[in-house]
Amino acid sequence: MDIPPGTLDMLILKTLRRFGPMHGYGIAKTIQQTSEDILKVEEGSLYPALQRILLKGWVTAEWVQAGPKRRNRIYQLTPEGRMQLSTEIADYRRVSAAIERVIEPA
Amino acid sequence: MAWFSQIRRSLAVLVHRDRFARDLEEEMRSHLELQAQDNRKNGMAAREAEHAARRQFGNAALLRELSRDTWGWGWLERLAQDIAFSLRVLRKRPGFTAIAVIILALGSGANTAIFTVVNAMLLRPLPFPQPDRLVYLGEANRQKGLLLDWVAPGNYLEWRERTNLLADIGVFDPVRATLTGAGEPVRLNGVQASATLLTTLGINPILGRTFTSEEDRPGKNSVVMLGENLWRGRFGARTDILGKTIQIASRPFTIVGVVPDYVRLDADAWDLWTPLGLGPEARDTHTGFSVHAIGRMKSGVTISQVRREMRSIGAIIYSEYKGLGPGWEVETDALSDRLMRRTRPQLLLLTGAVGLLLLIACGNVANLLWMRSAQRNREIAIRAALGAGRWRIVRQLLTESIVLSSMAGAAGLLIAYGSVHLLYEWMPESMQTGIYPKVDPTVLVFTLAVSMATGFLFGLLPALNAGRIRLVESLKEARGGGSLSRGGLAGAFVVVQAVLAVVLLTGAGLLIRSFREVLAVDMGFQPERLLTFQVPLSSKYQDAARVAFYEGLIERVRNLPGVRHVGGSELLPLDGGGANVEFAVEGHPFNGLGEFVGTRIVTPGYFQAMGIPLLRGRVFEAHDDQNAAEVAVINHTMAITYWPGDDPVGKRFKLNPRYDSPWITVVGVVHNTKHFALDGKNWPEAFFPQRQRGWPTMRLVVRTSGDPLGLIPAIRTVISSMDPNVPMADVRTMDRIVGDSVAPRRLSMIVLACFAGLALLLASIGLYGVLAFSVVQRRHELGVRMALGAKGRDVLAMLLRRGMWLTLAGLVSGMAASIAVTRLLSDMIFGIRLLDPVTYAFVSVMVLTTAAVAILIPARRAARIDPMEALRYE
Repeated sequence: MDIPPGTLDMLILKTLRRFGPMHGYGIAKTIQQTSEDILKVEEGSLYPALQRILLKGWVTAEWVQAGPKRRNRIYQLTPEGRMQLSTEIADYRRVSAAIERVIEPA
Repeated sequence: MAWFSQIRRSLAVLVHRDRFARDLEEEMRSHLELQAQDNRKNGMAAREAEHAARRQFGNAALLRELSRDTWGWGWLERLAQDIAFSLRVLRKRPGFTAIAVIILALGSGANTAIFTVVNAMLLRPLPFPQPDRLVYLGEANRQKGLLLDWVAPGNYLEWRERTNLLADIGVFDPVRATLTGAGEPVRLNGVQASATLLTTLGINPILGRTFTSEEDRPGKNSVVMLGENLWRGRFGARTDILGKTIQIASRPFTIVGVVPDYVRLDADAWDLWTPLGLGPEARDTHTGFSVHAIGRMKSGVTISQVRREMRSIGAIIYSEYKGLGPGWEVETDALSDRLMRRTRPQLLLLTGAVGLLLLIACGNVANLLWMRSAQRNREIAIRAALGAGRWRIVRQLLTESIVLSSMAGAAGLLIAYGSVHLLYEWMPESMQTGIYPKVDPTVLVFTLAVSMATGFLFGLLPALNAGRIRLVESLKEARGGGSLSRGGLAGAFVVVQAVLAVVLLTGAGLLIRSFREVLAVDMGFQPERLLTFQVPLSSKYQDAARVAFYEGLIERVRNLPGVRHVGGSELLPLDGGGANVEFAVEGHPFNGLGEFVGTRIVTPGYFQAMGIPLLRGRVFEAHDDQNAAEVAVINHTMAITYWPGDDPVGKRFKLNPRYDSPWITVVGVVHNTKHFALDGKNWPEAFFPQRQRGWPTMRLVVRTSGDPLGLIPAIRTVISSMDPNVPMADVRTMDRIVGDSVAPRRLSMIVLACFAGLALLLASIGLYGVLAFSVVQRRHELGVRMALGAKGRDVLAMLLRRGMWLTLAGLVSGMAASIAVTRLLSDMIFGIRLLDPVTYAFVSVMVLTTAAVAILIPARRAARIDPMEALRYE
């Protein structure tokens, strides 16, 4: 299943909050695994989202040497990111509860 | 401040764009590698593992684009691309680019130059603290059509006591003063100012102090502030001059301070500032308008409040001192408005004209782009076929025109930079304010804005049309074929250009005609070969000695070879200034209605030297001296106004009738001379003999048989042989004085005529271009017509008809527009009607002739088309 539009940011932030700093590949894999492979991130689409979040100041990024020829870019949640995450989760809950009420069989 | 750090981060992205791109690139690559690695661990073959990773990743190029878009600078990158592409396109067609840039640069340069002057003279605030609080006070009588820059000292003192809205009022009187003592005597511009003027304006001396109110009293006022120029020039900017004494008109003054050069209320900065020193008798002077007044409003007060207050204060004073008669009012204006009163209409006229010129230039370039877009049809169609949206194409073409207009703007800036000082030097002194126009940031912003706007203006229509391209037809057409609608819009451009050019031509024509009328006015004297100069005497010469000096000087100058007549006068015609004195005619009861006459003190030889005809009676003679009864010669206007249908010779009048003044007998009537301006009205004038009323400063007029300027050294020798301390000042020929008096008029006439000429040229280039282009476009059609039997003559006639229709449409609408627009010129029109038939006829002939040339060149080329060749060309 594709990720519902607008929720990718929340998923990324939540992943970083739960599992701590990690690189883009790790985030993609983690989202897939924790959602038990139901949510399929088209992996590349992670990067525009990460750029956006980075610009908003919700995460910071840092290059970390990972072997002789490769570096990993590690993302870490900022305090602003934490606040953003709780608003987004609250918003999401309100919306999905509302949707739930609408589609709940009468 | 979340938005603030976001902006900071966005800017960081912009600055380090390359690093961000590299980071993203590396990150994506490393993602793919990690995935491939995992895939291999899961048992895939190396190549298969990489492919799978890529598949899973998605369209990397697109994602890269999407990522970069989130940085928010995509528009900037696309703009940079557009600009780079535009430059490439423009470079590929250097001829087109050069012509468009030159045309636009002319328009833009003229606009920038005029704006630079407007900016310096009209828009920049006066160099005083809180300049918008300064007001200029004058006295006016609308019933008599008088608007005086001058106020009576007694009124000024009353205003000052009664006002609640003005913080203070100051007064001043500009004077010419002779600095004597060290070296050659020099004649300088000076001012006598009240101490309150310095505080009202808020003048900060660059050295020393301003004078105090104690020093602003009669008898105490022997202190002086030097102007910065004089201080730097003659005194070498020495700081130890404070406390030193200088001689002004042989009286000692102590230097107390130095006033900065930018403090100007006049064309020239004042070199000598001395206290006015109004005495107690000034309080009773309610009719002698002799000083200028400037007030400073208290904070929060508006000018209309002050205007009301001064009107009501004025009403009280004028009713208490009935002397002036009814109709008088206090006039309150913003100081900046008042100082610019004469210059503003001229500058606004030029601004309007130069704006029209720019519009014409825009029209021309729009036409060029229009025709070129015909040739670019295929290119644009291909771009559209490859997926460029309509808006994308419009944006690209608009970018091209804005790049073009920016290049022209830069060139225009250079033109303005080079020409603005010429424009200023050209301006008559009366228009110069001492504020030198400079190309400053305001001007740069203006030019940038104008460039952008013109780019849009001339680029928009062609771009929109190109964006509406019909793909299939355009691609099918062999080579940039001619769509017919194109001719229609190009024709419209030509008509609009013609309208604008006709408006400018009519305006210029009206001013030229008015100028000729002004010069043809009967000035009442003969200005040719007439040398004039001032001979200021110091207070060393009193009464009889003064008269004797001038008579001796006149006698000696008369004996010089090449001199025909010599006379002297306090004032010269067209040089302005002078006193208007209240008077009463014998036999008419003096009813306090305040009749005024301009008084001039002259020597007996003045009328002959000036060539002013005597109409009745006699001029002065040697026996009109202190022992004889007072006599006067009056001008024609005074004679017919106050002794209508009667011979005024032998009649009497008196000056200052409120006081016990003697009767003066009229002995002669002379022809009117224009005193204020050639286009001014005649004013009653009375001349008095120097022997009966001595005057400290006479101007000599010398009628010569040869070149008047050649006599200067001889006259200078004569003067210094009589007294080496007496200067020969302000030497000008009468021709020059006449010329100076019409200089503002001449300036606007010449500049407007230049603009109009340029406009006509541009408009006819536009017409030529449209026709020449249509000849190229219709080559095939013309070839067919001629193959079917049309003669070259017919083709010529056809094109001539089309061109003339366009011209006539432009001419007729242009005249209609002119009738509306030239109304704005009505203050500058003199001696002709606003709908002057000569001007309109002249403009028609000029436009039609120029158009005929512009049409005939391409039409003749069309007539010579060889049908065989034209058809083979297909």
